[in-house]
Amino acid sequence: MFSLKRILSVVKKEIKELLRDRISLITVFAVPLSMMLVFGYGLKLEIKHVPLGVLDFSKSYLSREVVSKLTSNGEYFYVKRYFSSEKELDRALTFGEVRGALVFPFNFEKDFKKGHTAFQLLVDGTFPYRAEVIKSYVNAIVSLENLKIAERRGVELPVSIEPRYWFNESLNQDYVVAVGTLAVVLAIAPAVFSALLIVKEKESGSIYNVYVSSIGKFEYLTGKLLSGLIVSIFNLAVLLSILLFLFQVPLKGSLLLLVLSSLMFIAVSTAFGLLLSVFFSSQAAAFIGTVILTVVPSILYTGYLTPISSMGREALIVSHLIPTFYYMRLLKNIYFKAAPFSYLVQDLLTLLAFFTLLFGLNYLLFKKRER
Amino acid sequence: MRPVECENLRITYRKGKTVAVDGLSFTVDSGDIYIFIGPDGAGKSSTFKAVCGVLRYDSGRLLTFGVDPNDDRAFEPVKEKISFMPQGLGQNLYKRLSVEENVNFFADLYGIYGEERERRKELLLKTTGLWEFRDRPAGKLSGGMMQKLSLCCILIHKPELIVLDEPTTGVDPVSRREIWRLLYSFNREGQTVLLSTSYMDEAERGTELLLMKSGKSIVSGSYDEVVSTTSPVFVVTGKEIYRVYRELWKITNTPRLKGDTVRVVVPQSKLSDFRALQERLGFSAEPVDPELEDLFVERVGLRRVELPPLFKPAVSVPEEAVVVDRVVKKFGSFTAVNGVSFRVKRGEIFGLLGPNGAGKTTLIKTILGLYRPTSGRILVAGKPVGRGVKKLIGYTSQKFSLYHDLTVFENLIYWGNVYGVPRDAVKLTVSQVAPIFELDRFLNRLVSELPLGIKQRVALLSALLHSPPILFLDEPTSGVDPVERDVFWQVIRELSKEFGVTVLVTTHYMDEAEYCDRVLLMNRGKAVALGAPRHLKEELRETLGDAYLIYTDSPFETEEFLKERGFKTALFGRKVKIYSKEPVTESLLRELGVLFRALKPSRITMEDVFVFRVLENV
Repeated sequence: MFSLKRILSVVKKEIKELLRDRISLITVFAVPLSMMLVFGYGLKLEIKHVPLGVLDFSKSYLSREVVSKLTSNGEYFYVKRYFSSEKELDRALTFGEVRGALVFPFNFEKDFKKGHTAFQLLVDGTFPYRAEVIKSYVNAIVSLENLKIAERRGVELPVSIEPRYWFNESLNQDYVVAVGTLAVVLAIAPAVFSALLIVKEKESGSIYNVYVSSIGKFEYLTGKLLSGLIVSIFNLAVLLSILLFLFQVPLKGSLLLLVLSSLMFIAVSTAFGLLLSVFFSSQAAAFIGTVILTVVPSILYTGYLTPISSMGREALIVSHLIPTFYYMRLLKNIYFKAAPFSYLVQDLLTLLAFFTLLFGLNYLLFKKRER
Repeated sequence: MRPVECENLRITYRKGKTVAVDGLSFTVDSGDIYIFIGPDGAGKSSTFKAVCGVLRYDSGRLLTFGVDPNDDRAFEPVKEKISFMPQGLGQNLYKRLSVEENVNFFADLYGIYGEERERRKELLLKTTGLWEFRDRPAGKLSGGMMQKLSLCCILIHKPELIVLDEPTTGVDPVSRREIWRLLYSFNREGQTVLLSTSYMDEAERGTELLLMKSGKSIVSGSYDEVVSTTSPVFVVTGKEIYRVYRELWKITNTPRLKGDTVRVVVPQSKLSDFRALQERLGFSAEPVDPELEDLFVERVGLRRVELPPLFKPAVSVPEEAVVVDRVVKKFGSFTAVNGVSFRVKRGEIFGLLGPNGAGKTTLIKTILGLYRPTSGRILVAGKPVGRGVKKLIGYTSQKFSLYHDLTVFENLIYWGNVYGVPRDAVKLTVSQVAPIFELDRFLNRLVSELPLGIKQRVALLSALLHSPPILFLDEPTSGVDPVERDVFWQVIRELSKEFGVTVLVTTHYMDEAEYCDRVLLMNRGKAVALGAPRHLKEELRETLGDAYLIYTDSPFETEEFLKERGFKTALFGRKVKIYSKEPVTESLLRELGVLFRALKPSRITMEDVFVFRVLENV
């Protein structure tokens, strides 16, 4: 029914036009690259180097010992300033000079010798995530000290934990973010590129050539889809290289499976963009529409920044409607868990279903006329 | 089977709120060159799109090669037989692809490959003179060349019907004649042509024409048939021409004051009144052949506009109101204006004529001080352009200086304030002028809802609020029908002749030159000719001789034949226009052995002037 030659001529034309247009070239190739670099380098979720204030009324050996334990490895906390009054400390917290403070009461050491003592931890709660992390760090360090003290006092503790992190042994948040970024970039970039493919012809008027010629809808749409795919495959190669060689995130699973699922996902994302291109009539609208419809869900609902399990019921349902969610899961399973093919099949099939649905909609909704 | 049959066609937009085509009927026969003429928004484009199956029509009966274009499936095979060129210069081209790649892509679209494609491509590109430019990107071609390339592209699959939406708009007259020549040669090979234009003077180039306004057909038929239905037309000359003009309005609503002549259509019933007036005022009236514009004007009727004296400028300007001296304006390596000089006298209507891209707008903006000239000297009201001068200037830009989300009245108040006219003064002016401009109905309407002609009137009025002594108008009549255009020119005329306002106006309609005292013809940044329209035509008549139209069944052969005999010629549909210093008579033609049906005297037009002056300078 259709002619491969016609499809290829659409592809050829698209690629030629792209290669001769400097601005398009930059947007198509440099934007995904810079997104990857910016998110990969800039998006640090770990809380480190928190400036602390110390208000020590006890001026004791023990209080100095606590401060030194908290700041000794230099990675999480450092003492920004010692205060002599509550008023000063109050000011410093208010103006964000320090993000937390340790307040040792007058009887801190005396009480310890009697058996039990306490100090106050003040945390700037304006950014709850950070506050939570500060609290748990301090908690962990103090607990560790408590254990040692208990041991010295000869108390036997019934249960102790020996934690070991799997899949991301060094518990490196950067790795997770970098891999997630690949998913987000591949959700956005191919969609944006293909969203302009048809709409730009509508804007320039060359769409009439298609409307009045005998080229079929399937041929035209497939040609557009393929040109989007070619561009995105090139981008995929670049992004994967960045992940593997620049960020040096170790790949545990098979590269073949990684590429296969990425190709599936690119096809979905390209078909989605194309669908928007069928729908919109100006490049500006198509661009903004695509960005909103891809960026927001990909970042919020796919487990990129917050784990899916911590989402509410509604959010969880939304997640399952977004293809990026499945790709994100595939990526993490392949990348960190080296999951076997049989384990991935379901998600791969889901992506295939998404693609079929989206391309089918393209075919149904694209009319070879103005209205 | 007829290429197009259409009965009672109706097309609406916005769910029926805007009616684009309202009960249109026409038939295109095989071999026709069928021309749709009408102003912007008449419904030409919508009709064409419906014919090609690109736009769904609402009701009526429409068949293209016997198939209903609304029927998606059935119509798909018909698309092999037609091609469509959308409106706008090079709209359907891929600007980054080369000339040849564009043609190849179109061939691919229609599934034409191999040797057939190469043969056809070479033929088309050679006929259009684009063969040498086949490696040049389409975006770097001139407007005329782009249109020719578009033609090549849509002709690659040998369609039986080609539908062209304003293929000559904005194209310079020389390229325009080339495009027409191409159309004739394709038509000769049996292709049916359906095309639209907003130029009245292109009417006689087709075999059939249909004059459209507001979605309806005003008249249709062959040019001669159509035009012959017009009442007698006279060109009136004499002393006190303005008084004659005013008196003529009492008899008919068709007089048009063009330079120092009045062109008027006089219905049979009014002929005696006309003769009586002639007796009384002692003017001379020469009967002339009617043109399409005369017909349009008679059918639709003109409207008289008289301005109150409140636009009389308070400030007077020197005798040489605008001086432009060897002005050059370059943008990078591109020279938009190339050494143009002229002087506009106080109270003069000075026209800048030329196709799109000739440099008219750049020149006006340079005079206004919006661009700094690369070299040359400009004086406005005797001074270099600066703050002081700007109060003396009124300006309407090509794209209108109006805010679409404000009402007409709000726009006028706004522009009044910009020029320092107090709110109350603007209100007073508007209340007096609105009825004259027929704007009273529209004062509280949003500008975005208004038809083009009304917008143009508002834009003009907004530039007049501070009664400037010098007025710059950039393409004020573009896309407007002859009746609206005349209203416009009446205002200009009155401002200039009664109140001494100096007017500098640009247009790409060659026939509008007649309304100007003097014109400067521009092409590709250069001045081609300068002078009073009558003189320019007279000058050309002295070099070329008189013009004649030869009606013939074999226009190509006849033209070739006459050219070989040393005549200057041009093709006009199935007619050949020739220019000769020796009188051309039927017996002379017979002597020469020319096959013809009829011979009529014709006239030298501004387009002739443009074409021959440009070709001279090449």
